Amino acid sequence: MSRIGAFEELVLLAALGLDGSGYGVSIRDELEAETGETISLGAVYATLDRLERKGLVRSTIGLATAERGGRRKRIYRVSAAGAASLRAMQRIRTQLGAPAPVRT
Amino acid sequence: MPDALSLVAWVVDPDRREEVLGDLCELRARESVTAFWGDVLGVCLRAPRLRRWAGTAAALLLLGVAVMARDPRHRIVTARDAAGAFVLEFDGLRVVRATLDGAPVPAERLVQENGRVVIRGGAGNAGDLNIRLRPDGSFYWRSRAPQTLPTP
Repeated sequence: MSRIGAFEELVLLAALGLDGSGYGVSIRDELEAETGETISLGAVYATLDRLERKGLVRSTIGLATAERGGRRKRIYRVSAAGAASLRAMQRIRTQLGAPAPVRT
Repeated sequence: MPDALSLVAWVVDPDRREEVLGDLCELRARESVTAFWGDVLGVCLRAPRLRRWAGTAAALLLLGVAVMARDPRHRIVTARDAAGAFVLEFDGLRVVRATLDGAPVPAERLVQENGRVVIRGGAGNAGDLNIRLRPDGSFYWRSRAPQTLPTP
């Protein structure tokens, strides 16, 4: 399992939430909406590139639209390895957050 | 004012250009000018291509600084003769400082003229210490007499 950083995890979760239709702008929008913070588009691109190199997301080229000046989107989908990484992170969080067993 | 999309097109990797320009085109229609330029700058600064250029520029700058810091024109030479050691600090062919028997020579006692350096009173009772400089940076001098300790 690839180790992922906090921001990588957030980007993965945003991409997962967009259910295979996420691209740079929509993933950034999702992150800003959920965190309430301003997120750099450059940081999102850099993270998506890194996640793709790690095999945690896969990208495909979508259709061109008029509002994008006839340019196509790069659509990101969380891979099986990416989903496994997210589950692993969730499990670690749950274990760390669980109250310690009381010794008698 | 430069066109933002041209700037981004120039900076981002060609294989990512279409989607990045498309995203920015979409954002330009809905964001304030400030927010849009913030995104443009963010994308440019994070572009691997620009980072590679910045890395190369930084390496060249460091190399330049290292070369300047290690100025071959600046050198310190320690010389010895029968009377002891003296140190000459050169900047090119010019002696900028001297130390005689461990003590700095005052500037007024250090005279340089036409390939010759004179340390006034540098040879003890014999008078001045005359040092001849060669164009290649080497130098020679008449050995000073050994110092004699005063008898009690």
